[in-house]
Amino acid sequence: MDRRFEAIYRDNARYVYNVAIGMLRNKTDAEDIMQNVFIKLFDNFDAFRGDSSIRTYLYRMTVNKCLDLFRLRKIRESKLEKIDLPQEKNHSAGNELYSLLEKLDPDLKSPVLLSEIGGFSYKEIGEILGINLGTVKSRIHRGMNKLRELAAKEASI
Amino acid sequence: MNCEEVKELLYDYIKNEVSTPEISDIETHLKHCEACESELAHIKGISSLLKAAMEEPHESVYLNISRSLKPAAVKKIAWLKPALAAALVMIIAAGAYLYTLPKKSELAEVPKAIVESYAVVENTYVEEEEAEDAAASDEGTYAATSNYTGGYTPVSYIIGQ
Repeated sequence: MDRRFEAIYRDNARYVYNVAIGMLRNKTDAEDIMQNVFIKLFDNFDAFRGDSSIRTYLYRMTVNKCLDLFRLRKIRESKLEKIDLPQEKNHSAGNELYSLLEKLDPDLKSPVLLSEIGGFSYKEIGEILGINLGTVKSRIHRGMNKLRELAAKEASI
Repeated sequence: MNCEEVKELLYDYIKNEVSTPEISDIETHLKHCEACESELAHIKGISSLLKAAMEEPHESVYLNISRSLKPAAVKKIAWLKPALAAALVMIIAAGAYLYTLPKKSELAEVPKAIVESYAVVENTYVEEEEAEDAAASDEGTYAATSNYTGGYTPVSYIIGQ
């Protein structure tokens, strides 16, 4: 792999992967999305100028693909009869937290993950998701508050 | 700042998304409010858990990406197509230009025509001398003659004007 690509991959792969896991709670899907996103980025690399546009592109693509897959799953689930399927165990630690995260709306999940996992500023999150600063703040606050409520409820059980 | 206002800003405070005056107000409030201090600790706890739950992607992802990328050679010569197209256009244009130039056989006619015109002139000069001689002898009317039939008008030849 080209050295530039390798550096970009090593700097971002872990975070892209975990944003995808946080959105989908499925490792296989997260890996597929991650592969698609990096391949597309590297094949069109000459079109980018500067690291900030690369990161914005990377995470925007990741979130969008996760949302697409999430909606597709919802459509499929609504058409299938309800069957008890074994839950895929993704993590040894923090599994409970990710199962709580799964209960959030995708609109609340993505800004929280970009903030916590991606380490983006509110302004950058707005650029990635195509929403204004006020909406970013509002969704992050609501997302974090919801997570705290769910965590408190789990703890009391 | 009251507790409600501070709690609203606690996450922004952790993420450095508040103004300097707000930082000062929040920190002043936190010094004297255990409830808000506890709230801050809860938010930091969730943040830490999310980070702790992160995993590394499998190495096979890296290998799959490497294998799937377009070869560098194909990308490097991507410029070749437009360059070849431009060269082809130039070759066609040059060919068209060369085609419109007069042919060698046609070019050969030009000096031949010039030579012939001089020959006519020379002949005429000879005839002219004879005519002048004749005129000098019998004061006959001088008549210019030309036996040039090439269709060109000799430039240097004007007589009887």
